[in-house]
Amino acid sequence: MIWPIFSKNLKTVSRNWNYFLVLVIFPIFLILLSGAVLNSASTDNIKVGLVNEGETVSLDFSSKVKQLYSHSSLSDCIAKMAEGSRAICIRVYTKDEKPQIDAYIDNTQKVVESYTKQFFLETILERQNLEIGHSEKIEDRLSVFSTSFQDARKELDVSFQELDRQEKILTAYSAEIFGTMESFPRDSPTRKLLERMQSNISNSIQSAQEGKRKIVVLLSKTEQGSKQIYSLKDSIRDKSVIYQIMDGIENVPKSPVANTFPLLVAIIITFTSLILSNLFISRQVNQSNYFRSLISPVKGYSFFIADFLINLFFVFIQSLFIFIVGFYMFNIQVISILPQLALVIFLSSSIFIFLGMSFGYLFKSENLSMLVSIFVVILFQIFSDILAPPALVGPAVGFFMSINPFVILENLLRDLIVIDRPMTLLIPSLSKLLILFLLSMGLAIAAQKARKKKALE
Amino acid sequence: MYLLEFNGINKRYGNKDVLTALSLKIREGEIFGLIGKSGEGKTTLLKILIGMVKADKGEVYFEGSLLPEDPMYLRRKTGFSTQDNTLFEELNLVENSIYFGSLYGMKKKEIEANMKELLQLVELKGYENLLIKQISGGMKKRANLLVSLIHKPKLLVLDEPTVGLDPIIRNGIWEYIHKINQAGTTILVTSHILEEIEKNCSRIGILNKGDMIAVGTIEQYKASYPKAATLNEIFGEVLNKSP
Repeated sequence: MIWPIFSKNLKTVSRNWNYFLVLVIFPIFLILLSGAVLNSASTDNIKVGLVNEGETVSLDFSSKVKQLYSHSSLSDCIAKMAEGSRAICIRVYTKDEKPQIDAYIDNTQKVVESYTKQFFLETILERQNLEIGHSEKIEDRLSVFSTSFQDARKELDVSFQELDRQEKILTAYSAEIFGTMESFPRDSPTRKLLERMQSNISNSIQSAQEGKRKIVVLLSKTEQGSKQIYSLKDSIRDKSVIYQIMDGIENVPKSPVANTFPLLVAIIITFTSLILSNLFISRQVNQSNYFRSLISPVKGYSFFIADFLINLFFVFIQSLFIFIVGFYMFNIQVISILPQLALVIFLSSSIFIFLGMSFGYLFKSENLSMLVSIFVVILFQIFSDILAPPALVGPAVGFFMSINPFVILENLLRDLIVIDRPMTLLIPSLSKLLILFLLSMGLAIAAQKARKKKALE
Repeated sequence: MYLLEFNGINKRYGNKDVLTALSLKIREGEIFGLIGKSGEGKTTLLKILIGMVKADKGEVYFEGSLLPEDPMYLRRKTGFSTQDNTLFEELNLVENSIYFGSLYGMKKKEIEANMKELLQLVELKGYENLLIKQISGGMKKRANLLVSLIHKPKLLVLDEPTVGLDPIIRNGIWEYIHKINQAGTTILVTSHILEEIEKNCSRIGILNKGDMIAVGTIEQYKASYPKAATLNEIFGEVLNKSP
């Protein structure tokens, strides 16, 4: 019974050009426009005023600042800043024969925040690169020492074995001489010669044993030396957070569009899922043909599922368009993560669709229902990191942010598209979405029943 | 034989009794006219009839059998057409018929076969592929009748079928109602235009304060109220006599 209702919904929506405009044209336009805005955004566009009062101070700003304007005085530069034609004024002068730099920024302009972030990030990365260079050199040297220790140990091992072999040969030789010696009389010259030979051999055996003892001591020292080098290398690696930071940064695309794309997709999915489903249901229940559907011998859940599916279908079509535009226009790679993306979009858009459907059923007036939906979309965006970073907000607001499906969707899209995080790390967020999915579905079912009851009265 | 029987039906909304021990019998094959002042329980009675609302008390028999609890049974047996256009404007008549027919569990071929007959009956052949929003008001009424009959109901309930139409189209609609009736469908109709009820219905029921206070043919009414020349006058006298 679901298919005939779905098919009817598909025909009624697809024959209405307003839906096509809202579902396909507007979001694509939004993505393209946002892409153009973000692509043109660069700190190179910031106009910086320079007041150089210290004639002897030589500072090269031109490598970092693309639009640098010289001013004769600070007041002139600040006047330009008040007009909006300078974002920052830098004053360079000498004090107590030392160069000083003062920066004057207009806090009312958000562009400064962006510039400051960019400036600090670049400076920090430069320092980090420098540290990496040092760390790498030290590590290379330690590796050479370590290899030397290993080579020395091998040599000592070989020497030990050679001494051991010599000791055994000399011991056997000594035993042989001792046997031969006994066959000669005590005062015979041959016996005396043999006794001298045995004494020499005993000395040689003692020398070999002494050599072996020394080698054992040296081996133990090389062992300790190797261990110290290894622990030193480990400690350098542990302390070098730079490696981890660089690893993290290397995966992040440098294009501002790629970084902002998840947020754009999340905004569009939230907005269209909620507004479309609301528009669809509130139009449907206010039309007289709703009555004919109510008196047909079909259970309410068939209409509910078919209405949900048609909204989901259009959200998926729209998402497909957005990702195609992202792929061709901004080189956003999503093909390898399509199943994961589909799951995330299914869960999150379902939550918004259920909410939109609930408002459509609950509010009799189409206009009121639409206003409530828009209000909820804005509410979701207020309780996100668009206004305030989550790290700064208090625990209560932080809790609402953490269960905000818009925030979860945006984070999941960022994890998948930008950071390329494995699916196993996304399970906690997906579980949250699943719980919200079930709750919102419950709300929509209850709202549908309430509306039906009211309509039949 | 009676197609439909209501015995001692009670319905209350909040503190208000809308129907009080109402009893009514509708014969198979007749056009039954139901009249009454606004707010006297007419709509509630129709809603009970089409299985939209459950009576608090009383029994409903359809074709001699007590109706089961499940309202779906009565919904399959009845068709309903209101004064409003209850079709989808973005769909044509064929698509509307297929959609509503499928809600009654009908196969596409069965719907198309029924449509063929009904298009002749309501004279809409040639207009079936136009979107509903493209056809005139009178055609929309006929299209509504067609869709109400697509599942071949035993009983067709018409709520104010001619309201808002000019006299020529109104007469046309009544012609179609008669044709539908002659094709074997029992019809229950409500209207505030009493001349139409007088002229077209085989029996007429008068509802007042939630109870059926009088039922009969127009001739029987005239015999009982000789001073009254029209149904309008009869209606006034019946209400005056009612306690």
